[in-house]
Amino acid sequence: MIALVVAAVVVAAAPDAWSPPRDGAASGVFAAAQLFSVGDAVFAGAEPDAVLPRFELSRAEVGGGFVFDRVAALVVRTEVVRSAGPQSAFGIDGDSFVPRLKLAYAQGRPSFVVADAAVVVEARAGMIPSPWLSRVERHLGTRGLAPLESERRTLFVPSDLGASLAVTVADVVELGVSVDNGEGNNEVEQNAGKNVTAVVDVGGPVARVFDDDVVVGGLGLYRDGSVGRGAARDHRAAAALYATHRLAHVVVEGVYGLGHAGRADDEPVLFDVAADVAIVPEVFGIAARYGIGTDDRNVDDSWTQRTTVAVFSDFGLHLRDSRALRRLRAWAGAHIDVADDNAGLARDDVVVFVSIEAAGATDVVELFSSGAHP
Amino acid sequence: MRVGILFAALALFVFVGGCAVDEDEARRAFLIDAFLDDHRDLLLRDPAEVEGKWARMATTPFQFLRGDIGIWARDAAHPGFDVDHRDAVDDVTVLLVGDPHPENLGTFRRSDGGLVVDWNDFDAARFGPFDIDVRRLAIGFAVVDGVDEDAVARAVARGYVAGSRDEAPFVIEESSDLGPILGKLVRAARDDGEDATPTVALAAHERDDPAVQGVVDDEVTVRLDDDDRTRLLDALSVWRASVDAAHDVAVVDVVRVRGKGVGSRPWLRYRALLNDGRVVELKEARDPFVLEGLVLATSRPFTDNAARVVFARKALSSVDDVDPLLGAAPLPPLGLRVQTESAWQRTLRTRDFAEFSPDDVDAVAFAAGRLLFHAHARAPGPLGEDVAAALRAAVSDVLVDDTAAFVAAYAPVHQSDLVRFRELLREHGPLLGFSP
Repeated sequence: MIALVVAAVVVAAAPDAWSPPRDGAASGVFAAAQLFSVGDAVFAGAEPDAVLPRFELSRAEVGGGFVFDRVAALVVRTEVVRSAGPQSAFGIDGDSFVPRLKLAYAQGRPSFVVADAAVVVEARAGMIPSPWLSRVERHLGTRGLAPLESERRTLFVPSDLGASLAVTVADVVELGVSVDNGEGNNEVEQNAGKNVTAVVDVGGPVARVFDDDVVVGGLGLYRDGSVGRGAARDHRAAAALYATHRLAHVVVEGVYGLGHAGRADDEPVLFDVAADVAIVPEVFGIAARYGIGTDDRNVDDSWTQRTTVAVFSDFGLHLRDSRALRRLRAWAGAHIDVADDNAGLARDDVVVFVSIEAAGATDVVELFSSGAHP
Repeated sequence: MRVGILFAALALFVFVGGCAVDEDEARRAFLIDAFLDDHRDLLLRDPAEVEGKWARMATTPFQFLRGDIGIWARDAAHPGFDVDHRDAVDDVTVLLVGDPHPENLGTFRRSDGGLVVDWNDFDAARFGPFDIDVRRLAIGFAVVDGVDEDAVARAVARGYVAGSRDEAPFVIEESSDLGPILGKLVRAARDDGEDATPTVALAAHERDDPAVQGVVDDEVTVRLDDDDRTRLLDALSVWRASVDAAHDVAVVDVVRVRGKGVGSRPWLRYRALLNDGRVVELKEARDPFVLEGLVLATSRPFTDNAARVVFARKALSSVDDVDPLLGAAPLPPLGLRVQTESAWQRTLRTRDFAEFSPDDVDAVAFAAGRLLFHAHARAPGPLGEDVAAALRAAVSDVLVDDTAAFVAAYAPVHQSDLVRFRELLREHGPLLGFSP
């Protein structure tokens, strides 16, 4: 099957869609929104003349919250999803979009100085972000093209009910641990086991190039987990490397699992690399991604690959200091999917696309100035 | 250095992980999770019927197959299911019968009075690769007690290949060379049909009758209360208005049917008597199984399950005139499939295979495979396109060995799953530990 994406729109999103903003007033409110809309024309493999033009809304999120004295925060983020499940005819008024909670957590973030090093403790409880996706995406420049491979292949889900604690030292080393249900953001707890995740993120500036820091680092994660009524094991080990600069990003991700999608004996594996570079800043850049993985490494010839190549332009707009719109970017490129003979029902596929991405969010804004009170 | 440590830890995890889980335990966890997931709303709505379904599934490998379509679909989408045939067999997406096992074959009476044998259950019809149906049919024959697994698997595939070489439509009619098994089926249907007395009233138990409480072993009909009766009559009025042959008839009575079937036993099912003596069956239409990872040109080709089932029956049947009363009735938030129920309809029963020779069973498997090809070729593809030419081009003799190899690999999985299922029922109780 070949799919030609003829239009896509992405509007308004914070670069970090997982956390409250750190800039602005000490106390106040903030808001953010994100929307991906895609139009495509699908050509069925057996009948190349049978074209199905369509528009899709692949992502739409609205969120915001409160920050108190830079320490405490409440964060709520909603997303819209199709009301019918995959391949289902049971939906609301057809297959309408319906909103649901993606994030809803309370956060405490006190900071200290210990031996001249800044120490930040971040505690969260509620519907909390994935400890992996939320950290790796900070360094990813191509989220507008597609989710991380580990999310696309459902090795990690965006959020879950639970609690997390992270300690950051000198803005270089972050150690985190979280405990959650393990069922994701669309299911109640199904078994007595809890997912326990430990994550480390080590990174910092190593050089200054073109008036901006080059930040290099790496992440590692281990999760002891279970899923479903059968409490099937659902463990993960993951590692990532990143190098980021205002003009370029490179992220390499590797994930290994013991158990996946309720099958305790599956061993999914994936490797993913994503890179983008602005050749002429704000005018023209290029991006490429490559991911390869399998749902079960024990099955021969079960690997699938996705290669993405794209060019982008920010329309010459300088949005780094914008207080609201943070990104407006046009993309053009192709996804090329290749599936091995034994990769389930996955097939070879090519998607050529043209899209526009825009992102924005507010800083923390004081709700009332002191002078406004009577 | 630090990053190196991280990757070393990952490598250690991979190494240690290799010597991990007990496969039997893993499969048990998968089974209980899948069964509870697939029946969650039914367990809340009517746990007694789910209990009855699972109890019946636990009796024989074939009865287990009749209720395991959710497990089947998950396995069909899992790496390794394709064995190694893809190099030789092209994927062609067709309208699948969905659950084409031998007991989903049965007789129908045509408008001219003649009988045909055809598929009689389209609850699971959906679009997907054609070989999923071929394999489902082959495994359906292979798990019947006493049959030669390899022989029936090959017979199904040979029938499918033979169908691909037919130049004319294939219909199993009374005048066909039916063989002993289908011949007996058709003769019995004709006897039943000719001997049947006109229906003048529907027998039904009251709700508080002990016969309808708890798990029932046999089909039983239950009288509806006033609210349910009104809802059903409203639904049937929509059906009547949309079906030519039902325009001028009135509904005399409608009752609930419980305890019928295996896979769909917990689904809502009703029987209505029309004033001209005909009887229609109304059956809840639910989502077909999900084929995880399958990308179709249109991701939601059907927006209503009752319409899907009706469409599938019309598209996949070998003749056009089997049921003038076929239609859909809305019962929000559900839809009901409505079709004629008569004594002329008789389902093939695998327990009868024991009376016949292996060659006779192979002949039925061959005919079923051939009928399946013609169903696939006759129905449109996901975008309404004609798939017959692509399907004929994709099917070759390779399919025979491939299907046999698949059955040799999967039949033991099915048998082991039944053993595990029985153990799970013993350990967790008749509802697999479900509590609302």
